[in-house]
Formats: sequence, C-alpha cells, structure tokens
Amino acid sequence: MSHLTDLIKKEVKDLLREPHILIFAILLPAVMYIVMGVVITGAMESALEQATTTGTKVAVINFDKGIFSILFIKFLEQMPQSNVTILNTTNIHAALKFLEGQNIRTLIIIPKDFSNNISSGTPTYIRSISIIKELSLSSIMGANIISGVIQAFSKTLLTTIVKEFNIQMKPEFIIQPIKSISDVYIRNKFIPSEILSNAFGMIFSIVFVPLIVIGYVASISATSMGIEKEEKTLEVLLTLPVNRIEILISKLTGSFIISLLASVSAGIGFWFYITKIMSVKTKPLISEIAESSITSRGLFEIVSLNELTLIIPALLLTILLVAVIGFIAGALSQNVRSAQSIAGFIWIPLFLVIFPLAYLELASLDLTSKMIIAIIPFSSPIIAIKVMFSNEYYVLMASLLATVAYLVILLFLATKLLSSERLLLGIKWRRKF
Amino acid sequence: MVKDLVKYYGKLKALDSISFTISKGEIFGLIGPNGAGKTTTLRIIATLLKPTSGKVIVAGYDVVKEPDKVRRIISYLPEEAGAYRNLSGQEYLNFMARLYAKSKKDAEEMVEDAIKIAGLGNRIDDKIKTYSKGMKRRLLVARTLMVKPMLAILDEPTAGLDVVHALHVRKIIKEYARKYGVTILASSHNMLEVEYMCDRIALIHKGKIIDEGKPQELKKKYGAQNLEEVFEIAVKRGSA
Repeated sequence: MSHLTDLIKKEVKDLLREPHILIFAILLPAVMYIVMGVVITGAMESALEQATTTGTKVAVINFDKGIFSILFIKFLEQMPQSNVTILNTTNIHAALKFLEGQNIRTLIIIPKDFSNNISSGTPTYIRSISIIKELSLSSIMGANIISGVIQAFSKTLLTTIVKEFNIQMKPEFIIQPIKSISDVYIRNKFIPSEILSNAFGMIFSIVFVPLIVIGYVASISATSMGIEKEEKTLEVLLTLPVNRIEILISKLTGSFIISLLASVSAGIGFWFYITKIMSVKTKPLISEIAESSITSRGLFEIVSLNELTLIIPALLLTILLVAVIGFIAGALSQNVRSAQSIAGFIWIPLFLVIFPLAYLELASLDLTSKMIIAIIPFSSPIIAIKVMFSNEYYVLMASLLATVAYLVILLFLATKLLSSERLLLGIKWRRKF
Repeated sequence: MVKDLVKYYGKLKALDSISFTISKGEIFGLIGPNGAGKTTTLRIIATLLKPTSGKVIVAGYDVVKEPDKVRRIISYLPEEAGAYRNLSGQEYLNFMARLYAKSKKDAEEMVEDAIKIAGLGNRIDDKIKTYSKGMKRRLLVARTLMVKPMLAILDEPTAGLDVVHALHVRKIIKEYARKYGVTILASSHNMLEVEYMCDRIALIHKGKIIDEGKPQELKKKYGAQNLEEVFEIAVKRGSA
C-alpha cells in the first residue's frame, strides 16, 4: 500500500501528459457539451416560439353561429398573442388552400349543432386542422397547442359558464363537454395528429439509429489504422505490391460493411424496443388509436416507400464521410488508444448538427438559409427527412453534392497521407510540460 | 544502387551521404550499432521513407519516382514486424501469396515453400495470436522469402529468435538466396550472423559508411580476429 500513492501519481501524470487525452478527454467534452447545450436550447426555444406563434394564429369556420361558438371565438381572441381570422366560406378544402398562402397554420371548425348540443348537455366537439409543411418538432408542438386551447375552453365551460346557463348535463358531458378532434393537413391529405406524432417518432428512429452507429464507424475505421500501427503490420502493408488507393478503399469498405451490419443489428433491436414500449402504453389507454400506434402504417400514410428511400443515399454518404474522417484520425495517431480517443469525439459535431435541425422547420426559411444548412457537413440525413414532406428536393441535392465534395477532399487528403512519411512516423505532439 | 543518400528527421541528420551497390544474387549486410542509420536506409529502399537527397535505384527503378514498380520486386521484413493476429498462419500466408502470385498455382507453391521455411508444423493452422515471438518471426521470414523477390530487405532477420531458431533462419536465408538467385540486403548488429550469412558487408556508424568489403577481406585489412574487432578499429580510425 505504501507505493500506491506513487503509482497513482505516476498514472495521473502519465495520462495527463498524453496531449490527446488532455485535449480530447478532458478539455473537449466540457467545451462541446456547453456548445451543445447552448445550440439545442436555442433550437428548442425557437421551435417553441414558432409553435406558439403558429398555434395561436388561427382561422375559424363557424357552422354554428350560436352563443357558445361566439364564446369560444372570444376565448380564442383572449389567448396571449392570439390572432383569429373568421372565414366566411363553408368549403374546408378551399379554406385550407387559401390559408396555405397565408401565414396561418391552423383552421378551427366549429360544427353546426355546437351550441345546441352544449345547451342540452350533450357532448360535442371542435375540429382543428393543422397545416404542416414538413415533419419537425415545432410543427408537432403547433398541432398540439390548439388541442390544449380547446381543452382549456372545455374546462372553463364546465366550471363557470354552464353553471350560469343552468344546463341539465349528461354524465359523459361532465367528463368531457367538448372533444378536440385534431387532424393535420399534410401533402394534401388529412391525417389524425396522433399518426403524425407516430410517423415523426418512426422516421427519426430510422435516422437516429444509424447516426448512433456512425459513432462506431468512426471508431472502427480509426481503430483499424491504429491496430496496424500498434501490431506493427503497417510497415509491411505499405511495402506490398498494392497501391495506396487500394489500401484506402479496403480499409473504408471494411469499416463500412461492419457499420452496416451494426446498423441493421441496432435497427432490429431498436424497432423491437419501440414496438414493445408503444404497445404497452397505447392499447389499454387509447383504444381508438392503438391500431395506428407505432407501426409503419402511420408513416406510410404520409410518405411512400420510394420517398423514404431518399434517406438511404444521405445516410450512406454520411457514414462514408465519417469513415474517412475516422481513417484520417487513425492514420495520424500513434496507436489504438489515441486513435480511439480522437474518433470517440467525431459524433459530437454530428449531433450538434442533427439535433437543432430536428427542431427546425426548414421549409419556412429563406433560400440562403436553406443552402447554408444544406452545406453543413452531416446535415443530409435530416434534410432528406424534411424535403420528403416539403418536396424541396433541391435542398437535399445541394446537401448531397456538398457531402460528395467533402468526401472527395477528404479522400484526396487520406490518399496523400497514405503516401506520406507522416503515416509511419505519426504526428509529433509537442510536449510543453 | 544507393548513391549519396542523405536523410534528416527535423534537424537530426540520420544518414550522411551513404553509397553502396549490391550485385544480383548477393547477400549484402549493413552492419552497425543501434541508431547508426541501418533501419532508415532500409526503409528508404523499401519505399517507406523519402530521402532528403540522394538516389536509390532497385533493378533500374527509382524508389522515389517509381515506388509502385519497386514494391513489385522487393519484399521487406521490418525489425519489429507483426502479423494479423486474428488470422491463422496459413491464412496469413495465403493472403500475402495472392498479392504477389500471377496464378493460383503460383500462390499455392509460395505457401508450400513458406510452410517449409517457417517450420511451424501443425501450428500453421492456429491463430497467429497464439504464436510465440520466435514462431511469429519465422512466419514473417517465410512470408518475405516465399515470394522470391528480386530484392529481399531484412531488418535484423533473427531478432527475437533463440540460438537454434536463429541458426535455422540464417541457413534458410542463405540457401534460398543461392537456390533462387534472390538478392538480399540484411541489417544486423550481430557480427557472427553477418560473418556466416553475408557475401559482402558495409559498416555503418552515425549515418556514414565507414568501410565496405567481404568479411574475410575486412578482417585481413584490419588485422582483426572477427568483425566486432573490425568495427571497433574502423570506428577508431574514422574518428581519429
């Protein structure tokens, strides 16, 4: 035990004097998590603000004209930041077409017998239709806000207004006087909003699982070079009668195949996990939507399988890009330990891009902002999801082209690195302590 | 042919204008202590490092300008070489043979030769990670020689081998060079090994070649009993 302190001191000193450990394991995480926190909080706040604005900016078609529908409209107008437009049309499709051109994303339809039903203590409903251009967290939040408003009116009605009007109430009326029927209008289709949430969950799991796997890709490709160095096989490999590009391609393909296998394995596991969780939660509670719980039905009601395949090139190119970065990190490292510690942090910039974009509604941005987002490395998979709904395929094309350009540049650098002495001698980190 | 080879690592001059020529089928030894510049010289010839200045020509090909062509006719064994630990010895040899062989038959012959050279018996089917250091070295020597290169570059070929296996490897290198006309450039700091194996040697010290010739001629020239004495006297005379 007497030597334990000396041994610990030696261990800490030795590890701290490894510059890559100091930078990548101690300093970088603090900086990266702070940046991630700021970026994601900013994105969430902006999404919430957007959702609140779109959720309270509504148009109303009133088929009722009775006292309670007028009270409901007044209730809407008293909501903070509210902006209520009354439409005189009775044609819902025409109204939706009109609203698509305006900056109003919610249409509320008050049915014909609304006031009569309430007067007789019979449950009634209000239908809301959210116009959604693409799947984003802000659009989902926006769709949910109006349901909350309807529920709030329902409670107010029950606790105060009904007392004054002295209405004889049916038992089910006491439980829920006004039911909120919430639909979304996306790609010229009406979809129950629960299905939209399911589709959102599903489609993001399709992307997030491979993105998690991308973390492994970087590690695998970096480790493969680190092992060559550590096991002293690199020197022989570089003198074999094969050219450097063949070595590079074989390394990348190997990492790519392993990562695809890992994606499939993680995908199967994740799918099983999600379906299990959702089946437990939905069946007993909300029987009417259990059938549309997290199944492919929800997703395929909005997009076709062909459109879903747009994600594939985006994901494959991103995986390849990360594999090349991992390879370069491994090639510049002296051993497996340093290769892995560098590769382990490649996923951070990846998530810094993906998370904020999941909250953002790309379709509402101007062309310049769309293009700037398109050329951000690793943005293609999330852009692929968004353009699937907004049909702005040119943004995805720009993103894919940018990814290909990054790939070409990095592959060129990797080939140069393979022909350089740096590969064998590694980077000499300057020790200043 | 190595001509006026100079190599700097930053400010450190590792090779100071060294020159030597090896004839076809010859076993040439580069002799010197650790840090003398042997490995740097071999790595430049093996196309791994680029010289700061000077020229290296292997069978008419410039190692800097035509490295791909050079790699097709050489086979290099680094001092601290490893092999892919999760492959079996047989799989490793098959993989290497396929890179050099022109046909499947060629590859099979190479592997057969290598198995004989390595002398690993049934252990050839075991994973390399289960091999001892000596077994691994024998496998690597076999891999280097089986392809019958025009030039085999062996950096400390018997490093890590016990006396018996070192003797076996030296014998095989010599036999193989004679039988197939393979030119061999070996580095070593084991003077006994060099005396037994090499037709000609160059003494390298602090990045310079201080003398060159046949072992017997050098012993005679310096009036020495063995090559160790030759080296000692040559270094003293060089620094005097």
